[in-house]
Amino acid sequence: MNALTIITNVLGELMAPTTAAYALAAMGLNIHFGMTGLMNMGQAGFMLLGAYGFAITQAMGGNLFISIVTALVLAAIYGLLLGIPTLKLGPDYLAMVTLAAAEIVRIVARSTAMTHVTGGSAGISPQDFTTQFEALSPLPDGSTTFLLWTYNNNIANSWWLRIVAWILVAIAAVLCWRWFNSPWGRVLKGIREDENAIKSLGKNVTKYKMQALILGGLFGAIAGIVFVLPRSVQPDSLGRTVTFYTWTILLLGGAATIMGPILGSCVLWVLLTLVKEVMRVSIPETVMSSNQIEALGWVIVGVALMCLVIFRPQGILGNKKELAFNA
Amino acid sequence: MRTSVPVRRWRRVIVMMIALLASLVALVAFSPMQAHAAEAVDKCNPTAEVGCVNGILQTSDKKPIGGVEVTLSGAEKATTTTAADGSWAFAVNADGKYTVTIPKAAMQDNGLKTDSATVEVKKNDFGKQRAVVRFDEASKSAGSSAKSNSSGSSSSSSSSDSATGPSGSNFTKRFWQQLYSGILFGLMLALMSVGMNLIYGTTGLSSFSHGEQVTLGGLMAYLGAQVMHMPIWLAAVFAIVIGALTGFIEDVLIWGPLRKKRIGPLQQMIVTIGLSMALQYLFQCFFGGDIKGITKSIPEAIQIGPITTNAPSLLAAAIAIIVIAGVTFFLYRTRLGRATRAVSDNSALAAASGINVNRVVRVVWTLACGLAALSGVLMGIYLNGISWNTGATLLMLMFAAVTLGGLGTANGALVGSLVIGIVADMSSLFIPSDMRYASALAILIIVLLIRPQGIFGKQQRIG
Repeated sequence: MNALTIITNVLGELMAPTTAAYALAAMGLNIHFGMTGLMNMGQAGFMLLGAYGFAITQAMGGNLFISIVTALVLAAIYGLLLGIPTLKLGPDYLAMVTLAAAEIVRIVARSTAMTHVTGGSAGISPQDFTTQFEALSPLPDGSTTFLLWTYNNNIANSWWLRIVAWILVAIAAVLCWRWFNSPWGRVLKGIREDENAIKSLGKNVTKYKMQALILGGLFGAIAGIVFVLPRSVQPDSLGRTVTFYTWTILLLGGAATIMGPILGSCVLWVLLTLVKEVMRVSIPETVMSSNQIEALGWVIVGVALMCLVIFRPQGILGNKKELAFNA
Repeated sequence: MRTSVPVRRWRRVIVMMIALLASLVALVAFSPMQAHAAEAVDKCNPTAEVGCVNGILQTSDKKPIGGVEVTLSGAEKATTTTAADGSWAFAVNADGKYTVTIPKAAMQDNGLKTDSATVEVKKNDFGKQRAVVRFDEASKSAGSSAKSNSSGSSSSSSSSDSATGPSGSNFTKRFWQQLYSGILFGLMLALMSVGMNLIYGTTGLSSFSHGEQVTLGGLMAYLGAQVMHMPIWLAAVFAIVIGALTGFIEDVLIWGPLRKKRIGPLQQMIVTIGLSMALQYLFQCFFGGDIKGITKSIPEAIQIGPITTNAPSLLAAAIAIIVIAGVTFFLYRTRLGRATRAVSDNSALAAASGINVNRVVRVVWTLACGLAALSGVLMGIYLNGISWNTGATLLMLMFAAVTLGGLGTANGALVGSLVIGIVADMSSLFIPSDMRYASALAILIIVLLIRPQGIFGKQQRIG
């Protein structure tokens, strides 16, 4: 493995569908936390529901539109169920309930009793749910090399998926920008800063929080679909850790900014891949196996998250005044 | 405004239940087809399109075994028969986890440690394109044949406990067995959550890294007993000392300075998440991904009435009870314990009346992490082993127990843990056993709906 391969792999992360999926998930989280100050610790739950809603309806033979709507509706219902009991309580309650609910979704989905629906812990394999999406591609069959990178045009981890994923990210960014600067977005920011002040203006705070929770959840559902398209739907690949990475990405890029989640996702994956690739080349297999290097990569993410929160809670792009963890 | 809250909350619970039920039914109505794209091949070479799951089936003294049926399940399914030299291979197309099984008889006849193993294949990952499966090493997914009761670790779905649902006198027997193992599990959970609750009480921090402290205890006991060949009791003491020491060091290096910097509890909570990730993968890095057994021998079963148990489990329960009693004594009868409760109640007032709050918090961190390490050791013995993510699986149950008992209340955690432990284990009488943790978490959500302050909590804490 030479330097060029490393550069190809590392920069390839910049446009990988997974990077886009995390950016979308972090944008959803940004609506929750950055805009409204809600501690959602279960973004992976929204992603899982989105992924399952999409994949299961696809496997049944529904068309693409119905599948996406199902994913969104599932996420909306889930957000509603989580929000009703917790939005009036303190922030740590929302954190715990979202975390617990995401775990429940995962545990139920991976249970052997659900194998006929969700495929159990093995999940749903790609050929069951990606064909319609791939058939939609206008690109010719075969694979294309662009500069350094060669991917298949339409199948699995493809150019087509990359194009769609990043268009989605762009649309999401424009939407977020519109929302952040709308009167509605300003109310959300007001809730983040001082709930009682907004209450005194006669606004229904719980309603606004609910809207933010559901909206961010919908982003999560879309992120879930993008996340599973290049691989299979697997309950354990969308566990608690995914939520934590999403938090790292959001805090790295800068909460309460438009480009923060996108930048955070790109920076995290590029740096992580770089570190891992370099370690793989420079450390002989006898000293450290590739599994250990993989694990060490996540150790770095964990430490990065700690340091970020302590030393630079506003992230790369954020404004320290904008972001106060108000407990 | 508050007066009408309980009624409305109940209504909400019902609405939520109905909606949840409806969505579950909707989910069950759909059913995707399963794929059969994996192929049995003679030799497999990984490429960008194809990953490999293969191995050579040998007896424990390295003689090849031919003609054994090998079944692949997971993301894709296939079956093959081992060649004369014992080799077998599958070419697979999808990334993901695969489980390979051989007949139980073949395992026993040839002195192998396990009859099934789970591996992960990632075609794009250099180290994971090819997964080699060995049956002569007890692996993570090994059906734990030593225990008849389902107990805790999420991965050990033992075959004898395949939640067949209630049926006659067998049901009564299973009822008592599950109640017993639930109490046992609850006691160990209590050891962990008491510490977590003390931390919450004195600092307002929900520590996500507490699960890793439990894992640390178990792994240190493994290190002591299996690697450094200490007697088991010494290994346990070693684990507890290391655990307590890490608690102390963490408080000196991280939590103390953060408190001094006046960083809020929510921000600190995210720091604990980072710490938990870092520790968890550090464990995986050093100890690997498989289950580590603290003791190698399989204890003899003891029959007490309708309950089957063994001596180590009973001993673990006794130790848990004694230690919890000790902690209660410490909190209510000693000077430092009283000071701890005072800080829990109102830390500003405690500081004003001459209590050194920082010192109390340091003692609490040390104590809590020591208790977590002890529970990790007991868990490891009770579950026949501990792996890098055991604590992380238990973390949600700790939260549930602590919240149920009342965040920050001294004895709430004990009651909460027992309830959660019993609910988790008893629920496997009615629902599939791999869903039993979900039932405990559902309890958490329902409790938050009805009585957010928990059983023993004070009303004032609600947001």
